[in-house]
Amino acid sequence: MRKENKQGRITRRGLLTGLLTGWATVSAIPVVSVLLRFLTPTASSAPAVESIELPDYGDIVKDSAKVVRFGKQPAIVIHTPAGQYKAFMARCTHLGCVVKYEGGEEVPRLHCNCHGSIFDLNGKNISGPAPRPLDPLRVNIKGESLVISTATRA
Amino acid sequence: MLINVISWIEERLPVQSIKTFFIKKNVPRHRHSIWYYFGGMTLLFFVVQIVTGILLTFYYTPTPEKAHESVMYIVNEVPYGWLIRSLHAWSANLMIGAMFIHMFSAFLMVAYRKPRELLWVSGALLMFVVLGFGFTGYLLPWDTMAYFATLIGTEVPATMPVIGDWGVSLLKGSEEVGAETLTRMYSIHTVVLPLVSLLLVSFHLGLNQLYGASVPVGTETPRKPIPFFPNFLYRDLLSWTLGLGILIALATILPSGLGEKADPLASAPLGIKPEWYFLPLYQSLRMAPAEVFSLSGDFIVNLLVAIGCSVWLAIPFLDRKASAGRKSLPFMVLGIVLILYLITTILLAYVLP
Amino acid sequence: MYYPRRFTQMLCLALIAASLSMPNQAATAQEEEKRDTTALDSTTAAATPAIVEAPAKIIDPELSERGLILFVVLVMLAGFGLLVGLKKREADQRAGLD
Repeated sequence: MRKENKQGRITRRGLLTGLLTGWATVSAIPVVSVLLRFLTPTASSAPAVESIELPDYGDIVKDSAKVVRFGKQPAIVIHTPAGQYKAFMARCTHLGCVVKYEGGEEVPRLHCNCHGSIFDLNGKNISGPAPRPLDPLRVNIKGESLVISTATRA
Repeated sequence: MLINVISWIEERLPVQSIKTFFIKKNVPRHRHSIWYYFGGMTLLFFVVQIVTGILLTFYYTPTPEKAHESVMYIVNEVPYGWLIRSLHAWSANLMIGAMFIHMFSAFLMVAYRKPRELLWVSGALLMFVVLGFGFTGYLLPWDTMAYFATLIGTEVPATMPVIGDWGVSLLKGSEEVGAETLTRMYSIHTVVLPLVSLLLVSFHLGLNQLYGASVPVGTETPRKPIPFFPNFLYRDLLSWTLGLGILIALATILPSGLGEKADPLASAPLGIKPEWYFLPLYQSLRMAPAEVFSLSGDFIVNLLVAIGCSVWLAIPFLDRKASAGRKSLPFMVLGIVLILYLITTILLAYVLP
Repeated sequence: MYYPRRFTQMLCLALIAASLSMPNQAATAQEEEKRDTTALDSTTAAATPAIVEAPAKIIDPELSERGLILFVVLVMLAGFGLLVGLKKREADQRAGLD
């Protein structure tokens, strides 16, 4: 379809097609923006968890570990062969699988089953594709409970 | 570059024959032409249903514990969630309304006569599918009204001999309306019926393209017919603009509410009524005497509805005169009586306590 | 008929600008509403346990938000309808329909 006639002027038909296309495109902007806002998840209104208490930490025998819920994410609490308690965020820093404690005969370590990353008991990535150490958590014994809190907290 | 892509496609797809197929179609012009718009209107609201329905599934959770909360979350927390849900609810009602007008106008214009018998059959099947959408979708918000309306609705087949109890258990998925019922309804509403309706709608529209609109028996068409593309399509677009305007006005002025979360142990609240398109069945069941010749009234109503639906589906094959291109009085009377009965029962159901 | 091209371009730009500003207004109205409810939440959060019960009643969307959406959509549809109407008339004339 020719939008211009011989004198180089826009024809009525061309103008109307252009206006209609333009208007439809412009109208699509608010519609799409409503759709995108509908689909974008709203941020959770619950405040971020900064510490949790474990009253039953005595159940974790020496040379073993337990994965507990820290807010919405998993954390791993380790009772080292030396009798210390240590805690890390349990998500592997590679692609987010939950790591597993391996002790017993071998040198105790944290192993990620997904792609074979290995961390030592200080959370340091010693082998495999994990790019950085596990995020550490602070461990304190307060009365009857083990208190686990984010490391940045004073 | 773009020209190259287009010519590449044109070489491999029969674009030209598809084009001529669509351009060939004409829409006749006469004094009943206005009714041709309601099929397209039904299609418009069907598309709105698909889009808003898919959006709602992104947040909805089909379990008795979470269903009500998730609808609450959509309405209160999700940006424009209330709007999407209201559009879905209102568009459902408008779609069913437009569908009934389309169907009865096709009936009264004897559009089902040869060669359009299969258009009628696919359309009648679509009506059952659409009513199925309405019934299965009603439970999903899991509020008190939805729960008890579904409880009653799933009991309706119980009066049928032999298959009655089996039919009820098939609908409920367990002995009570519960988690199994909800997942069944959800699956039917979002998977089974959409697939069936897409097939039927494609068939229906394809046949319509092939045969074009039917001219009522004995109607003069003195004026030149309108080419479907682009002239009638512009008219359709205008009617869709009006339809969308009505839809958005209803959805924003009267957004859908949500009742209290359903409690299966609570006693049924007062004034449970189904959606308006089930009111004729509801009112007929209410008006039926308890017993007629030692048969239960409910059974008789259900039997009549079943027979009526079968007759309705088979109309093109029963109306022998229609295939010869003549109007037949008994069928016109049947159609008008049916319309009057539906309207009367709906009004009665609203007026009577 | 002669239509200045510049005029068409300006009109389209004005329409884009107008429609871009509209959803933002709706969004801010909603954000303000949300801020009100979160302010309420934070005062009660300390007393209530972690799982907060869903409110029993649905919060009606703000009348102003509903009005704005209705207005924007109706303007969009009216413009669309007007242009389609003009296209229809033009196409009918070309097809020789009376």
